[in-house]
Amino acid sequence: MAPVSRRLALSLAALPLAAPPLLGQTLTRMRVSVIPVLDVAPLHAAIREGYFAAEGLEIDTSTTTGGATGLPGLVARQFRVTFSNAVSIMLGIREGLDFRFVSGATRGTETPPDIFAVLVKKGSDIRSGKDLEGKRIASNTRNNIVWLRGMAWVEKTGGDWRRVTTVEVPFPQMADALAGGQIDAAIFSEPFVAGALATHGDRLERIGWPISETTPGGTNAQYVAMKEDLDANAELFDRFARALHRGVDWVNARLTDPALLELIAGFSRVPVERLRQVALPAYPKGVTPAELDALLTTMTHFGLGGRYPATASLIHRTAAV
Amino acid sequence: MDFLELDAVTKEYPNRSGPPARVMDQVSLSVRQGEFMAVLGPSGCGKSTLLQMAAGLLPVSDGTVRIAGRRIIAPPPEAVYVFQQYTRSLLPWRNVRDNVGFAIEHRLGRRRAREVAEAQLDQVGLEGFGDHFPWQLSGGMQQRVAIARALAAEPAMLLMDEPFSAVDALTRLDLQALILEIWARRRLTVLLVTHDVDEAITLADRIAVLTRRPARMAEMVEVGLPRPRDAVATREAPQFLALRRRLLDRLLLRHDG
Amino acid sequence: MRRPVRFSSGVVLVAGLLALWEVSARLDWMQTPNWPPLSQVLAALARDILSGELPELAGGTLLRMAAGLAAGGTAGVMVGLLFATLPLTARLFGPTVELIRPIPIPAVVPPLVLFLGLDDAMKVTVVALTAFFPVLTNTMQGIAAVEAETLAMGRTFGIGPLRRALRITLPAALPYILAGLRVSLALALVVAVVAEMIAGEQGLGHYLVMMQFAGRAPEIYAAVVALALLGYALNRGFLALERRAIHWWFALGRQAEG
Repeated sequence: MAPVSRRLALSLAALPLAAPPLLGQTLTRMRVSVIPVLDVAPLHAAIREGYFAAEGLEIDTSTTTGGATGLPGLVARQFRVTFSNAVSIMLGIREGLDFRFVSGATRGTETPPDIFAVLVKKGSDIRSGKDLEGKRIASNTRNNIVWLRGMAWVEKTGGDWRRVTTVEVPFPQMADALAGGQIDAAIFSEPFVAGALATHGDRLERIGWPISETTPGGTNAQYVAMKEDLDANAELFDRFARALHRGVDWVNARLTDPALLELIAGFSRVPVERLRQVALPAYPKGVTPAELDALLTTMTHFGLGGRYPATASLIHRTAAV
Repeated sequence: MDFLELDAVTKEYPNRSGPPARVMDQVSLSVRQGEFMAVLGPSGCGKSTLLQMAAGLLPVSDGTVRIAGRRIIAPPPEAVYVFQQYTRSLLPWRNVRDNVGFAIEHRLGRRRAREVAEAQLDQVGLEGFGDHFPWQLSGGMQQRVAIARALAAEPAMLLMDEPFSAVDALTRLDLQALILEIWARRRLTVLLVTHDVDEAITLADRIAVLTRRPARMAEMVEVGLPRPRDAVATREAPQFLALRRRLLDRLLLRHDG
Repeated sequence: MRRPVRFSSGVVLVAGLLALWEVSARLDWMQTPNWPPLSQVLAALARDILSGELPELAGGTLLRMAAGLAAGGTAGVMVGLLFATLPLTARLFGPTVELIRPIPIPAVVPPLVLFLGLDDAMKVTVVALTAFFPVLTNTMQGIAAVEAETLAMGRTFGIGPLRRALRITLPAALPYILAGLRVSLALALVVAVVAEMIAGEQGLGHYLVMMQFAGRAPEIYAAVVALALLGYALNRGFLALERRAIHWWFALGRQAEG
């Protein structure tokens, strides 16, 4: 089987590089802020498969479900690396915070199914962004990638996003709010799309794919670190990215393998049977200036413009792959 | 020899509007060693204030207090104050033995204090009550605990603030008899504040009578009843009755004047 | 005879509510998968207790709570004693304390994260801060309620200020302090869990949000049930301790009632 032989080849290839100088050495501890979603599967794969240990690193994940403490915690040196959505990262950079991209994490796929979906109540006459004008749409947070893709979808399907009211509803409560009629539509991300359709499938339906309908393969989330830390400890982050990218390879080799779903179920606690219904993102290793430029164009269009540095300058060497 | 001397003692309290309120004006008196003196005065005349200043619990505004020739500015080791409200002066979280021992355990340690406490409880007729809590006892018994505690400190002088006013009449007689007995046995000097004329005559050698506020010395009365006295029988003596009449007249007349 | 009757009618009410829970969920009255039947919740609870996961998490939560409670309670008593015995300190620091008191605790978590990180230090501090104020207030009240005669009694026997504070003021104020501590105890559990929900990967609070994120309603409610039981047990345990520590206070209360 291909995955097995590839894994074997990879680990064999890595062995002579990593093992000899690190034997008997204590591990350097790095704290990484994550969100318990599909996006961080490669990180957990790299932890479980020992790729970080092989680089002399011990990764201590800190799960922040709200996402509110991830980037501030990075600024406060609570974390060495933070996983975050691209919009929040760029907004922080606009405010003068020295975030640098250490690695890519996820992008949307070129074709449906997306990791994001717009859901409405079954039998609702809302079918497009045009129908949503004067209505209420839920996003987990304002001014993040979910909201941005949702607004782009509203515009793409004929609506004026300024005339759609955004309501902040946490993902776990979206399905109930939708079924209960408190909101007219909601922008879900996986695994909550699958969760909502599994539990409320008789009452909810999907009307849109916000990424593939607006920006196929568009950027989604990355790992960032502070520039100062990267400058001072470049070699450490090289090791971090090397191990993480081996995790990316591990995941990409198993996109249709139950082993991946078991890994995700382990760290996210989402039951495997639900994960079988989940759409997976693309797992890139790098970040490209092109995807960031495209993102900034979209952000500017939707009111999140401002003075941003040249995107190429934001990509640390470990993400320039 | 004078054991306690009050020399022109004055007490004033600051007043928000106007001059300070004077509650005691130039009171002088001396209590001889081994003497039992009562302070008698109308209610609210500041008898307790006088006693607290004598005990070093309250600073004087003017004048001096001396005990055994020393000027008093803090509670002296020779004199112990016995409070009117035994419910407030006894510690409800300590049993009777440890309440009595409280007077001395900071000097002797808890073990030794307990031994002394047991002995003192015997002396006030509370043998076997050491394990009880104060609130399990009657008012009279609680005041006995307070007296035992005062005695445990082995003071030369007791300053007693209406110690029997909160108990019923029979218990009061009982406690008066106890005090007479202890005073005779231990040759204590006692200054007792009371508004009970009978009590003052029954117990005291001399009675200092105070005026209404601001309190001044009205007169010093020599009781002159023979010792030993009896808390009941002494009250039937003609001399007792005559003195009682005189003092009551004096105290009641003060109301009109 | 009255007490057992009241007790059992309370049990009946609880049992009735639990039955209503089961039935309403089975019949899907709430029309949501986020209202799972009690039986599923108890099954999840039993499973995660037996696997050792919940006991370990609850132990961590309780440990942080206890540490915060001890630190905050001790500080509350000490500051209360200081304020009460040295009025100058109360005038000096009182306004600061009054300014900090009304800040909602979840609001202090983000700044505390900056200084103390995401782990025990931050969470224990948050709990300590919560526990501090009820104890401080009650300590000051309790000290104010100590009778002047009681303190004068200590002075007449030549007992020094420190010993008076420790042997008279503190025991006399203890019923008030314990009442404050009981308020703090209830808050401490809540705040410990809230702090765990906001940051880090520790305790029942983190379990709760993880399960919420994973869309596992039975586990969410299992955590809630576990917290309810813990809170109940803590309060009962505290009451029992309190009855022992200040039995005299309850005895005096009974006397005052008649």
